[in-house]
Amino acid sequence: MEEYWVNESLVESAIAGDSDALDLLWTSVRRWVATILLAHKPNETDLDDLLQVVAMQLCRNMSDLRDAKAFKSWLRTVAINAAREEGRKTTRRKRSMLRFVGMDQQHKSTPASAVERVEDSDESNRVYLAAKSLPIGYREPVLLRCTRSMSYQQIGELLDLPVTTIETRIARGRRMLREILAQQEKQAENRKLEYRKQVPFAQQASGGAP
Amino acid sequence: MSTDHTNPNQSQEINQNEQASQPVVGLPGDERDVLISRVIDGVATSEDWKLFRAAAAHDASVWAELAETQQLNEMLSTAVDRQLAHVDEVHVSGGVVDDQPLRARLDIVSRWGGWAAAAAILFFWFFGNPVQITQSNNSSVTAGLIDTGMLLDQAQPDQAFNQYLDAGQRNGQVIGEMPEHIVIETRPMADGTIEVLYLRQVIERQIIDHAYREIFDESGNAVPVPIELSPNLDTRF
Repeated sequence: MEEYWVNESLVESAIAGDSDALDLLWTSVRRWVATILLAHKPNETDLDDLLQVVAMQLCRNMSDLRDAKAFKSWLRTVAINAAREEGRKTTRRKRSMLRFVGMDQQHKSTPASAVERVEDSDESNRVYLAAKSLPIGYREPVLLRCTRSMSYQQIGELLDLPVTTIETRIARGRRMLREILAQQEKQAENRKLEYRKQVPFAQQASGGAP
Repeated sequence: MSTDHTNPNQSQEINQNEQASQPVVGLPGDERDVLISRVIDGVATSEDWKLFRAAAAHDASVWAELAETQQLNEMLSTAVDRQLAHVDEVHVSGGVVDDQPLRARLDIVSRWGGWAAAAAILFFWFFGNPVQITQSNNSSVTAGLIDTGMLLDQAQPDQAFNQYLDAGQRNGQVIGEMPEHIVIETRPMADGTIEVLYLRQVIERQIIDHAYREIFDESGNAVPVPIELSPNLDTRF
């Protein structure tokens, strides 16, 4: 079975309780489901855990689905809700933690996790984190296009948008990505210059703190 | 090349975002972006290529933009592939989710209390009470302060924390502090130092005379259900 294409008769069999059909169906959709999760989940959340949550909901609620044609948009909604729920939990955790240590006034921006900061040195991860900051309407199609090259048509069907809109969003999303990265580089350069102004040359050379 | 939108609502949404487009010599910003995207995605027609070459003849920066976008797209694809590396390991064999990794983590959480207490006891047995170690190590600095019952609002954070551990252990509320701290975040500072946010874990103990189990009704709402406690039964939560 070709990846990403959802066979309606397979969906109907899965709705009717055919577990083999459900297994096949999951195999054909899990990569794009994971990409939707990537687009919506908080950076700190483990993707595999969230994917398992979606798989569980698929197993539990598949038989409630009335229309096989609605399967893709239903599953996408399930994935988005799972990611958003995790986002709310993460926000609550962060808030309580920041209140506890009294840091909320000092650090208003939401920092990436420690792991991500370490991986940040990796160039491709830097691009990925920048892509995660795109507006959601652009983020989803841009990331889906990277998922073993889903076609514009397949992405359009999944997001329920015309192919021309998908094409335009991917094109604009990529330009916005270039602009975000260029801006980040400029800011990093400015920070370095600022640091050089503040710290005497001798201390910079010896690597010492000011 | 057409970038028409068939759905008027979506078109409106797109047009609002179009304000960010930059005017580019030769081709309007959107058309140029779409053209570059088509070339990168390998779906450019011969007509698209003609347009692209004409634009590049007029403005050579189109080539640089193409190369840069292509490189970014490749890096993004690599990163997404890396993120999706374990996706194929999540199965729904026989209509049941194979959630071994998730269950393993939940098991760790459910066993946490017993494991943590055991670890604390072992830790004490091997290394002695960490609070006492801290106090004895800092005796030259803190001698007299804790023993004399220094007021908490006058104590340094570490001294106040040690007082809490000490008092908690005396009345049985505190079992001890876990030896490992959990790092939440590290943040490089401009001066070359590193700020580290971390959790300190204290194991406490409470005696209760009534308990509730949380169950979920058909709407997914949490409902507390009283648990009957009996000394003769191995009641688990």
